[in-house]
This record gives sequence, structure tokens and C-alpha cells, in this order.
Amino acid sequence: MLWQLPFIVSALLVIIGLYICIAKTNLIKMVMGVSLMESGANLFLVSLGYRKGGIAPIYTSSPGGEMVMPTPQALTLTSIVIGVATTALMLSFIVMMYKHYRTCDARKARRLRG
Amino acid sequence: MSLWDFIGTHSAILAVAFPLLGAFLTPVVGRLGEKASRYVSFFFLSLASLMVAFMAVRVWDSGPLVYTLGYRSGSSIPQFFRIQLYVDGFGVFMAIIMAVVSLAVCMYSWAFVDRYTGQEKYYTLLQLVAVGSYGMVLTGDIFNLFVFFEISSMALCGLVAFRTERGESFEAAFKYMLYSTISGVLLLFAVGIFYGEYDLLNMRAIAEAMSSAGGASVLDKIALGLLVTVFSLKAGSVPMHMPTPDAYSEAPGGISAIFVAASQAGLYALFRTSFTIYGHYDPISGAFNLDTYTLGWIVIVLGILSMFIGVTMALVQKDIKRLMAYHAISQTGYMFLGVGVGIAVLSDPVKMAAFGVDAMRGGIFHIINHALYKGLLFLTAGAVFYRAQTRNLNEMHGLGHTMKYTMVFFMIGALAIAGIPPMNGFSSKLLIYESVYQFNPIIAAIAMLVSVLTLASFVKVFYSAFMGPRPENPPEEVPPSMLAGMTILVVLILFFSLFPGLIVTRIVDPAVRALVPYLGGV
Amino acid sequence: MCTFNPQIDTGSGYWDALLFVLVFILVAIIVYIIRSMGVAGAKKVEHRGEPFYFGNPVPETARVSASNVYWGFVKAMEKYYRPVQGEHTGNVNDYVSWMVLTMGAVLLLLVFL
Repeated sequence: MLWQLPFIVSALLVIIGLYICIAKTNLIKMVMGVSLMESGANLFLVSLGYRKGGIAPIYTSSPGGEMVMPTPQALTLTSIVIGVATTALMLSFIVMMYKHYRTCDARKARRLRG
Repeated sequence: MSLWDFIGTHSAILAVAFPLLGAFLTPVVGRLGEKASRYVSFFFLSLASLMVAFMAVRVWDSGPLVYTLGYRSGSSIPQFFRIQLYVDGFGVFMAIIMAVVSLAVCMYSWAFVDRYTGQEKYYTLLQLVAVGSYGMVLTGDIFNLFVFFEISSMALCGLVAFRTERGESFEAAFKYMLYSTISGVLLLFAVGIFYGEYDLLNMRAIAEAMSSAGGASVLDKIALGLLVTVFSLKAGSVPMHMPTPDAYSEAPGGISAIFVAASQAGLYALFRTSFTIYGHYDPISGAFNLDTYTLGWIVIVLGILSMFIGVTMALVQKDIKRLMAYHAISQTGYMFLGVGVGIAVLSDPVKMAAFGVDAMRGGIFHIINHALYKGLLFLTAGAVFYRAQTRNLNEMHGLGHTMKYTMVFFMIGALAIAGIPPMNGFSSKLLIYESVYQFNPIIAAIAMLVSVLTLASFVKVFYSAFMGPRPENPPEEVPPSMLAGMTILVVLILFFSLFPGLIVTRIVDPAVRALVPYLGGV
Repeated sequence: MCTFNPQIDTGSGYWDALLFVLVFILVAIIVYIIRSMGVAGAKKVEHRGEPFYFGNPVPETARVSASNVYWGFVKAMEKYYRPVQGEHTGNVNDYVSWMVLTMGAVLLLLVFL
């Protein structure tokens, strides 16, 4: 049960992020929810690579023994960078939207409908 | 190695690299003046299209092209652990669509964005969309698919928000970006599931590992569910279609056309996972990875919903581009339907040979037809907006008296989308109708009803925009570069209409054969 | 190298585009011949082709605007349009909840069927 905890936590983070995107109406809170979801996915990726008793996957002066897998760490770095870019883009959209609409509420900022 | 050999070997990565180089050079060259950036972008996009032409000739003659980045023969690490670009008939089909549409849109944009400042940013983002779409359709690696998925989403949302004087652009861009990011996270989850199970990220290697593990496990089915949702969201199918009309209507003129081509990349990814990963046929054990009957019915139901809800919502729209966006959703339903029938009968060889292959041919032919005529229709809508300065159909009348070329191009596009013979829309819809009828006749009847409603709504647009009394100050015809961009698409539509047999045997059949490789003599 | 083939073979028949165009032109010629055999100079009926304004003078720009063109169809399908158009709210929360519902339905169907 203990070694399944990272996966449970990452699934929980994704579910909480999705709940925020569904239930909260403030747009900035929705961006925070998306950021939580991305953290959940990153945690999932990193914890996939763990091997029991493994050391960091660096060859230079390593004490020997089994290493954790390096591929998911590379995937996670890419994903973190993508997450930064998307969060920045979404927040700048909200800033410009506030300038025109004067509201950050999803129920009021919906001129495009139907 | 001569220049031709060099280009022939590396054409797959060059098709992604040239627009990327152009995207980074365009702001630098844009310092020289607004007009310099448009020529740079056109140059690099046409180089990428040339690479696609090389790849097409190579793949149609001698089979799939596998390009491993940075591989020297004799290296010890096996090839599928590296990043691979895998170009088969279906990938090159989608790349051809992107090549044609990006060139037409780039030429159209020369005159369209001339009224705005910040043009070099527009051309930079346009080339980044090309990079994202080429990357999505040419890659053989599922994490690479995720990265290019995010690149194309971000660049498209930046372009949707291009007109900063209206708040609605940002609202549409924010909604589409939120949707794309959430689906990107779910896609990353599915990639993680694949990595955790098989320690592999290459799509063909995952397919073979799955078949040697005895078929799809429960985790694989969960990953499939996530992937189906994410890719049909990107393609714009009901019930996940709602940001699509917002984004298409707020995007400046030519971007809606390239939006269509970039959404088809999501369709490509859906069919790639369904056929290559989960429909992989293992000749030794004689079984597929997954009995795709349920998956096929899910895709068919999504298709029927998209077709019907898309076209009925389109009939009541007042905004010309929003109406066309709902039609894009509806036509995507046809592609889902055609290829969904192919997925549903994948494990039954008798039915597959009888009508499954024809349904897939119809669905895949519809992809390229749709990109062409929907692109043309969006470009004409942009031309109407350029002259009438409004998108509201209630406020415009009588544009056909003076904008004659735009009217003729609109008529050709409207006849093509409604499926009126002899246009190319009729050829692909006929293939879909006749094969889906043998699968289930009610679905074919719904598809024909949707076609009638499509014609009805385009008659409405034609009547409102082009017919009627002359306006007070009649607009003149659009500038020649916009006409040139539209003419490229019109010439291709007419060519596809008159010679559908040539297109089906030379372009569509290699794509079908790439998706179902074990059927000899497709 | 590549024969310009205008014919596609569907599973239960074929469609030939150039043949259609030729037959279309042929029939158009026949129609034109028949039409030119008619009587020239038809009587011009007053107010033909004008919208009906109950006897009032017709204004210059009389036309049905785009939202009202398909009034009959929309009114007949009112029971369908009201819930469907009501669902397209423009609210991002509804968008995401539709996606979650679809994902749940697809996952349940795939895993258990």
C-alpha cells in the first residue's frame, strides 16, 4: 500500500484539478486547477521511474548498484517547461480579458455563446 | 553524398525543421520592415512543402520511411529507444494537406493582415502551427506527439487572440487554451501509462510489446479511453466541441483554414492509436491487440452526434464564421463515421473486405476534401469580412454584385461541402454512404439528412451575404494575393472533383494500406 | 505514369465524374434547344417576383434577414432546439464537465464491454 502512494496522490491531484475546473467560476482559480493537474501528471511520471533502492542515474563517480530510470525524468522536465508556457499564456489571456470585460467570473465573461 | 540524397534521407526532419527555422528568423527579419517577414515565412513554408513532396514520392514508391534522429549505423543502442520519425502513407497524406493549406493561407495572409501591426508575430505563430502539425503527423513516438500537440495548441491560441482590440478574441483563446491544456495533461497521463507498462515510447514498439504480452490489459484500455477522449477533443467532435466555434470565429481570416488542418492532426492521432497500436495484427498468434468492436461503435456514435448536432446548430447561427465552424464539426463527424465503421469491423475479415475498406477510403478521402473546401469557405468568409467589416449575416447584403470572384469561389465551396455531384465532396460521401449502409442503414440515412441540412445552411449564407439589393457603397473585389490563395484551393478542388479515381488510387489507398497493413491488395 | 482516372469504384457500383459532366452538358444542350423552340416575348405580369406586402408599396430594400430565413424549420424543431441551444452556454465550467462526462462514459464502455 505504501509503495502505491505516489500513484494515488497523483491521481488525487488530477481529480482535484478537474474538480476545480468544473466547480470554481473564477478564471484564475481554473488556471491554478490546471497547474495542479500538471503537477499530478509530473508526479506520476517521476514515480514511474523509481526502482527500489535505486540511486540517481548519474554515471560520474557513482557508488554502483541499480539506478532509477532516467527517461521519465527527461519527460517530466519537458512537461514542466510546457506547463510553464501554457500557464503564462493562459494568465496573459486573463489579464487582457479583464481589461476588456472588467470581470474574471466565468459566468459573466461569456459573450460568445449559442 | 549528393544534395538530392541528403534531402531524400533527411526530408522527414527537414519538413519540421524548416518552418521552425523560419519561425525564429521571422521576427529578426521583421526588423527590416513589415513586408519582409511575409516573404521569409512563405519561403520557409514552401521549402517544407517541397520536403513533403519528396517524402510523398519516396513513401509511395518504396514503403514507409523510418528516420531515427542522430543514428549512425553500428551504434549499440537499439533504434526504437531513440526518437523516430515514422512516415507511412497516412502520415504523408496528412502532411500533404498541411502543406497545401499552409501555402494557401500564407499567400492569403499577405493582404489580409496588412491592416494590422505586429505582422511578424503573426507569421511567426503561423509557422509554429505548421511545425506543430507536421510534427504530430510525422512522428513515430507518442511523447513527441504530446510535445507537438502542445506546440500547435499554443501557437493556434496565440493566433486566435491576434486581434487585441476585441475582448472576445481573448475569451475564445482562453477557452480553447484551457481545453487543450487539460487534454494535454490527460494525454501525458496516457503516455505515462504506456511507459510504465512497456518501458517504451515508440508507437510501433508498444504495439508489438502489447501483442507479445497477450493483448490489451485493463490499464491499456484505460489509456485507450483517455487517448480517444483527448484526440476527439482536438478534432472537435461533439460533446467536446464547444470552444471550437468560439475559436474559429474569432481567429483572423486565414487562420480558421489552418485551424481546420491542425484539428485534422488530432484525427490522425486518433486513427494512429486505434489502428497501429490497438488494431495491431500479430500473424503468429492470429489475434488483434484488442477486439475493436466497442471502440469502433464509440467512434461511430461520436461521429453521428457530431454530424447531427453540428449541422442543426449551424442552421441557426448569425455569425458567418461561427456557422462555418459548426459545419467543420459536422463534417468531422463524417470522417469519424467512415473510419469508425472500419475500426468496428477490423477483426472480421469478411466484412472488412466487403465494406470496411471502402468506408475507410471514404472517411480518409473526406479528410483531404474537407480540408480543401472548408479552407476555401473560411477564406471566402474572411474576404467577406475584409470588405464588409462585419461578420453578422443580418447586416450584409448584395455583396455578389461587385465581389464576383469571391461569390464564385463560395459557390464552388458550398456545392462541394453539400455533396452535390460532380464535386469532390460527393465522391467521398458516396463512398461513406454505400459502405455504412451495409453496416447499418439507419446511420446512412442520418448522414444523408445531414447532407441536406448542410446544403440548406449554405444556401442561407449565400442568400444573406451575396444576393439581395446593392449596398450603399459597394465593396470592390479583394486584393489579388487573397484571390491567389483562394485560387490554389479552388484549382485543387476542381482537380479532385474531375479525377477522383486518380486521387483515391494514388493518395488515399496508400493511407488505407498503411493503417491496415495485413490486408493484401487493398 | 499516372492515368487521370475519373472513376472510383465503390463496393456496390461506380461513380464517374467526367461521365457526369458530359451527360450534364448534353442534357443542358437539349434543354437549351427545347427552350429556344418556344414563343419569344412572354407577357410581363405586374409585381412578378416581388415580396407580398399586402398591397402596400414595396420598399427598396425588402428582404428577409438571415436570422428569419428558416423560421418555419426552427419553430417546428423547437422541442429539439431549446435544450440543445440551452446547453451551449459559453461557460467554461460546462465545457469541462462535458469532457469529464464523455471521458467517464468512454472509459466505462471500454473497460467493461
